[in-house]
Amino acid sequence: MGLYSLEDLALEIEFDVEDFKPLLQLFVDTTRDDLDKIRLAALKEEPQAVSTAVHNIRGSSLNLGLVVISGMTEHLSRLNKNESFTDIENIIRECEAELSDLEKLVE
Amino acid sequence: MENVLVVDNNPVLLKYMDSFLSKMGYSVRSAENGLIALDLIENYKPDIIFVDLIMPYIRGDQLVAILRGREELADASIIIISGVAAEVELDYLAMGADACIAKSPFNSMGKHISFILNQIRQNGTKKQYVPVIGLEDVYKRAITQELIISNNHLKLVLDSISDCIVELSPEYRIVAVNNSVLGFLRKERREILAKNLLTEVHPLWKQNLEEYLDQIKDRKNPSHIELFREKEYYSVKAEYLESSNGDSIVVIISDISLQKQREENLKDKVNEKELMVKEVYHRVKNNLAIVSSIINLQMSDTSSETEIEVLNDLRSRIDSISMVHSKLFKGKDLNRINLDDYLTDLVGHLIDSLIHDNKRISAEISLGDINIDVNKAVPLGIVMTELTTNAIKYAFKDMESGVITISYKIKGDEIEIIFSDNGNGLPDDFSLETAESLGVNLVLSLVMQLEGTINFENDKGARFIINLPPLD
Repeated sequence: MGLYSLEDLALEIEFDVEDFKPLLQLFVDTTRDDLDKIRLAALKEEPQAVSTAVHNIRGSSLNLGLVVISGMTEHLSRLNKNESFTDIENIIRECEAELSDLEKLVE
Repeated sequence: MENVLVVDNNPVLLKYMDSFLSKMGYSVRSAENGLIALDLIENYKPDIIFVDLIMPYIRGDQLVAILRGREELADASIIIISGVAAEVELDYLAMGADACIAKSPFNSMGKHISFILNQIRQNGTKKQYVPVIGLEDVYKRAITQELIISNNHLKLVLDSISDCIVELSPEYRIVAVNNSVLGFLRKERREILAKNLLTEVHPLWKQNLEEYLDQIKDRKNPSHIELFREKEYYSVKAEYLESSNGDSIVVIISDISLQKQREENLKDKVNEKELMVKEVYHRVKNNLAIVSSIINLQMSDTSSETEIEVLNDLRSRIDSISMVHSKLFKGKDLNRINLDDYLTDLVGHLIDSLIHDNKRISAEISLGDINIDVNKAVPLGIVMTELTTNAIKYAFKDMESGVITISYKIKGDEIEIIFSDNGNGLPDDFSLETAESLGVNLVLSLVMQLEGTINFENDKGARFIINLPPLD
C-alpha cells in the first residue's frame, strides 16, 4: 500500500474528504462482494460470471483512480480468459489486502 | 430545482453521481436497473436522465427507446454514460439519446458531466451533442471489446431464430426479447419491455402460463406446456437462471402448429386404418357365420347321426374362429383379445350348442388378465374347442352334471394352461400320439404350431396340460 492518501484520492475527484469517505467505503464493500462472486464463479469454473464481476470492479476502481486494484483486475481478466481458475484465488487475496488498506484510510 | 434520474447498476457510480449532482443543485434519484427506473417515472418526472448501457434487466439502449417514447418525457434530456463508448462506435442519437459521455475516472468524468449540464442550462434540453465526450480519458479494453463482439454475435443468432425467446425478471416482467417475439405479440420492443408477460400474452394463456412459471420459479422443473391461440399451437418451455447480477427466467415459445397438424393427420390415418381393419374383422366374422349357418342347414338336411356329429364338430371349429374376429371387432385392441373373456364365451357357446338333454355342465374359467395375439388366439381357440367338445361328448357319460375347468400357471417365461374336467377320466389306453381322431390330431398339430407341448393325466377326471411360450 502506501500509494494512496485519503486526501489525495478525494482531491483527485474534487470531493471533500468527508464526502469521499462514504464513497470509498461503498467501493470497498461492493468490491468485496464482487470478489466473493469471482471466488465462487472460479470454483464453479464459470468464466462469464467471473468476467462480469471483474468488469464491475475494474469500472469502479478506474472511476476512483485506484490504479493498483484496476491493474489487478487486468490480471484477473487474463487468468479468466486462459481459464486458470486456480490462480485466481491468489489475485483475489491481493485485492482483499488492498481493500483492507483502503478501509484503514476510511477509519 | 431540476430533477435528475441516474440509471446504473454500479453502486459506486450512483453514489458519486448523487453527491456530485446534488452539489450542483440538482435533485437526484437513482435506479439500479431499467425496471426500477421505469417504476420510478410512473410518479416522477425527471428533466435529465443519465443511462448506463450495460445493465441487467433491460439494456440501456432499449431503456432509452422506451423513455423516448414516453410523451411526458418528450422534453427531457437523455444522456448515455457508459464505458462501452470507448470500445465501440455508438450511434446514441439513433438510440434517442441527446449526448454520450464515456465513463472515465471521476475527476475527468465530472468535468464532462458539468460541461453537458451547463450546455443544457444555456441552450435548453432540445440540443443534441456530438461526438461522444470524454473518450480521450479512457483506454480501450480488449476483454470488453471481446465481450461486446460475443454479445453481438449472440444477439444476431437469437434474432435469426424463429422461436420466441423472452427473458423475464423473477416477477415475470419482460427484460429482453428476440425479434420473433415482436411478430408474435404484434408489438414494438419498447411497448413490451418492462411489461408483465402474463398481461401481454393471449388472455386464455394467462392462468396456465402463470402456474407453469410459478413452478419454474419454485425450481420444480416442469418440462413444458402446450398452449393454443387462434388455431395455432405453441410449446412453452422455461428455465430459471441464477446470476450474481440478478436472476432471470428464459422462456422459449415455439410454434408447433405444423407438428400438431401432422399429429392430427397421423391420428386420422390410424383411426381410418383401425376402422378398415375392424371392418375386415366384421366381414370375416359375418362370412364365417354364413358358413356356420350353411353347415347348420346341412345338418338339418340329414338324418345320419355320424354326419350330424361331423358337421357339428366342423361348425364348432368355425364358430371358435368366428368368435375371435367378433372379439377383435368389438374390442379396443386390433391385434389382441382377452383370453379369459374369449374362452368363457367359447366354452359357454359350446356347452349351449352341444348339450341337448338335461345334463348340467358348467365351466369354471380363470385365466386372469392374459391378452393373446390374434395369430395365437385362433389355433388356441380350436384346441380348446376340441378339448371342450371331447369333454362334453365323453367325459360325463352316465353323470347328471359335470364341471369343465380352465386355469393357468406362469412358469418362468412359459404359460401353462390346464384344461380339466371332473368326469370319468380318459381310457387307460388313451394316447395322444396314437389317437387317430381328427380332433386329437388337430390339437397336436395346433399346439405344435404354437411352439408348445401338451400332456395329459387322469386325476379325478381328465386333465390336459399345455405349456406355451408367451402368448402376447
